[in-house]
Amino acid sequence: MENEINKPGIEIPADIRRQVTITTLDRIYNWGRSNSLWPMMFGLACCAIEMICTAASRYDFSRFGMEVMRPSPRQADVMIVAGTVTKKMLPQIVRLYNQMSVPKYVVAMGSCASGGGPFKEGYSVVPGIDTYIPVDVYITGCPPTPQALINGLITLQKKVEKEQISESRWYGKQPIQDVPIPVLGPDIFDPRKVEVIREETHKPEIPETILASDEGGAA
Amino acid sequence: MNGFGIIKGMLVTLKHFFATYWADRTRKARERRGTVEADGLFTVQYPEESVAIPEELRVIPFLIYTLNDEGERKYRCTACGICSKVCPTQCIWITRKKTRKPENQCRRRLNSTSISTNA
Amino acid sequence: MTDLSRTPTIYEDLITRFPEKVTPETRSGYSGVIVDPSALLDVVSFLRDQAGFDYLSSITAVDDFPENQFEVIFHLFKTTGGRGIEFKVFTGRESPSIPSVVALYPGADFQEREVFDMFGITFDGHYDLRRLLLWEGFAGHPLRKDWKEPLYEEDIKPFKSRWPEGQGYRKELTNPYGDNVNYPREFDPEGFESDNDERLYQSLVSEVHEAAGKMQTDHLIVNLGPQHPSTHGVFRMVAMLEGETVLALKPVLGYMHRNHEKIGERNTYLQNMPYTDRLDYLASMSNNFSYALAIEKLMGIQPPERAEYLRVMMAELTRIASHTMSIGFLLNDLGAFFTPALYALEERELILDVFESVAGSRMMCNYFRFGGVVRDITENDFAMIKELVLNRLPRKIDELDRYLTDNEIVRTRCENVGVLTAEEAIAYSAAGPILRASGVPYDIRRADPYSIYDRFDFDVCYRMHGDVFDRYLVRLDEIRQSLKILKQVIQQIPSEGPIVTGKVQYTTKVPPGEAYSRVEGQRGELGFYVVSDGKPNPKRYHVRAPSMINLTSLAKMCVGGKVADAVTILGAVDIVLGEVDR
Repeated sequence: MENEINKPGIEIPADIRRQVTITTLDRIYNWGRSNSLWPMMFGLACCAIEMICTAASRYDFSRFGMEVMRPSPRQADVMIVAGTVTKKMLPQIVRLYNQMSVPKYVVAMGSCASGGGPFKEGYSVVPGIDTYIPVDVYITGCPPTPQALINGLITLQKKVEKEQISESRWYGKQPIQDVPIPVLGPDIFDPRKVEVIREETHKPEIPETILASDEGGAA
Repeated sequence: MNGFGIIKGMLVTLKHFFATYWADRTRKARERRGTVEADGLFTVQYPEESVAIPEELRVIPFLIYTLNDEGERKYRCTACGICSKVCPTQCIWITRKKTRKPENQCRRRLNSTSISTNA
Repeated sequence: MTDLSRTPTIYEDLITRFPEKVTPETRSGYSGVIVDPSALLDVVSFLRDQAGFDYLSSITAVDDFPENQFEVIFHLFKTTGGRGIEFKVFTGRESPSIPSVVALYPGADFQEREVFDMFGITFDGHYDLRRLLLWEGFAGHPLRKDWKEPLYEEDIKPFKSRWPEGQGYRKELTNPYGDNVNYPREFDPEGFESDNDERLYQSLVSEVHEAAGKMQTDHLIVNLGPQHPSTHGVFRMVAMLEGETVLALKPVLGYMHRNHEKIGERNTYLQNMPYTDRLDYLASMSNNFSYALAIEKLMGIQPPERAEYLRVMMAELTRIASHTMSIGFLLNDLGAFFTPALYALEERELILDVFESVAGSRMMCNYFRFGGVVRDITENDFAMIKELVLNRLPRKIDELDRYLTDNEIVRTRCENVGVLTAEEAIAYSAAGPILRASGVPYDIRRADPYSIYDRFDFDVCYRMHGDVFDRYLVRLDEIRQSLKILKQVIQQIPSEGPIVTGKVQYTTKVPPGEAYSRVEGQRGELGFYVVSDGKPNPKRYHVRAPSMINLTSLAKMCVGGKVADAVTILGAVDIVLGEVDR
């Protein structure tokens, strides 16, 4: 990867080129951040094993700066959601995301975290976490090979390098809003969608064949 | 003597440490990193270096085509639908079209296919 | 010794001893007897105490929707080896309930809770009947045939909307809420108050009895998990502590519940094969093996010779890959951050290379088919396997042994921690290395041989103390025995031959009946119970998951020790969440 720090567009005279470096604040800040992203140790299922294999000695991702995998969300930069997200686990994931300190990124690794994966048609699987927390990079595969995960992390690094401090959402005037935590009722519901749910469940019943079970038939 | 077991274990680690320098001193050794004969370093520096990929690897679905005289791609898929019937997650959608006048090939051709990672 | 001559007479013995309460099973393709619910406890105590069937293997249920009844199926085995016994209990669909056998077999605890969760059958006499895999307050019992999931499309795959005219669409748009959810009528989310785990904590408090006259100290309830640094997956333990000592402990499962069994009922038989890969995802060939054996039992076919040898080769390589990983991660849990795991993962990577060039994918191999395997191995692969088995792996395992076994820190932290005696291990239905480390030499490859394991000469590894250190030693021994088996396979494999019986086809015709197949997996007895009624998809598909049933003894092992020991014991039980929660 070429080192972009020393080329801000200003001409340096040839005789002092070896002693002088000119850069912008954005570039040096992004260079520091992108080369030391610390992942949070958050493996859920099979994709976690491929993440461990990426951290092991054959494909080492500490060459890219992701040296330690921190179990505590306060000390981590990147949450790599590796594995299927189930409804029982979802409140804890949102809580962990809220507890991470800014600047923070989320990588959805595997088909299950990106869009439900092979288990999407089940009753207990959340079809992708991007309806609850904002995702930066999606990596598909079941499971993605370690080469694919490294590709995804390099893409994240390139994305971080393009950011600007003046337009970032963490240093703006508004305080950062927490994501509201979903509640486990007869089925999981998001507190932001309370109106929609109430309107739908209180609709008058259409006389179609309702199957004998505890709750109303599916759509 | 108490503590001897720990020292025996440390000797194993020390041997690995020196082997990473000693075993990698020739060019040939650097090429067998990450394979069965590897002795010292085991790291393969992806994306600059890569492990040999076997032919049977099936992580990416793709369509096979042949290039005709003008350099256009002629896809060999005949839209038989076996892939979408057999798929365990039912994520392949296929529509067909008919083509004009091919000699002894199938008249059905693929119109569109969408393989979804999200639905 | 063979029990084949005895096992038919045990059914006749039961019928004569309990007339009118035990009747033979008459449906074709099925086996066993039917027991009346009122006589269940008498029959079970007769079988355990007098007939010698001391190991409860699995309890599961089937929903007979047309006949309006539930069946609960029990499988029992003897620890001295041989074939087992199965019997069924019927109950009606309106308020179903049968007596619980948890007082006789403590290992029935989690299995009965799971049947309650999935079907709604209550077990009278169970001391803590709560939902296991789903949360309190979930509406409905999912595995009933009339309960449809929110994104339900059709009854059987392949769906008609995919071909020939299939315009792609997102499945969520078919649901009125735009998501994979469904709520009961008149549900108001604003006024909803959740349980917040009150029932769980109450059950924990009721387990701790205050000794009279002792000083009143404060008891603290601590949650270990679901996200914690020991990388065993999302698993939560709730412990009641007094200082650092654990007084009571309850595992909470269900954070990785992926409805494998419900999806399995929609799939055809062949489409289920990749889903079985994702059960015990650390090494997937044994799951495929067990499922293929179950369906071959139903179809009545046998794979050819070369395919049998290839199957055994892949199963043993998988066992080595999984055991090295579990040894590395046990050391990780003890605190040796990552160096032993790195050495172990090197060997695992080389075995995964073999899988990649043989089956196409590193972890989710999908290599077995009904009647054989999918692809033959090339000369290159065979040379690599020979190099690994004869040269590299024995050397590296000896090095790992030299590195870790005599280490004083490992010994002090692992010896006499988490002790499980032989009687307790059998009563709690523990399986695999845990059972063998407690002194019971029960290995299915020897006790009830499947495939061609009776041709190989290998030892059953067992130890006597039943603590964490013995489980580590048993796993190390098992790797060496697997290498011994692999050497014999390499010598005996026929150099060419067919690899699958019959013609390769996409739809399999399976005659009606039931089958239960068991395999000595990496973590214990992996069983598949499949019921077929002649259609292209199974009527019931159940996985007997060894990791979940091994967790029944976790509370017994941890109580009385320190909190740090609880993490070590969990590492030695070696669970895989894909299997525990399915």
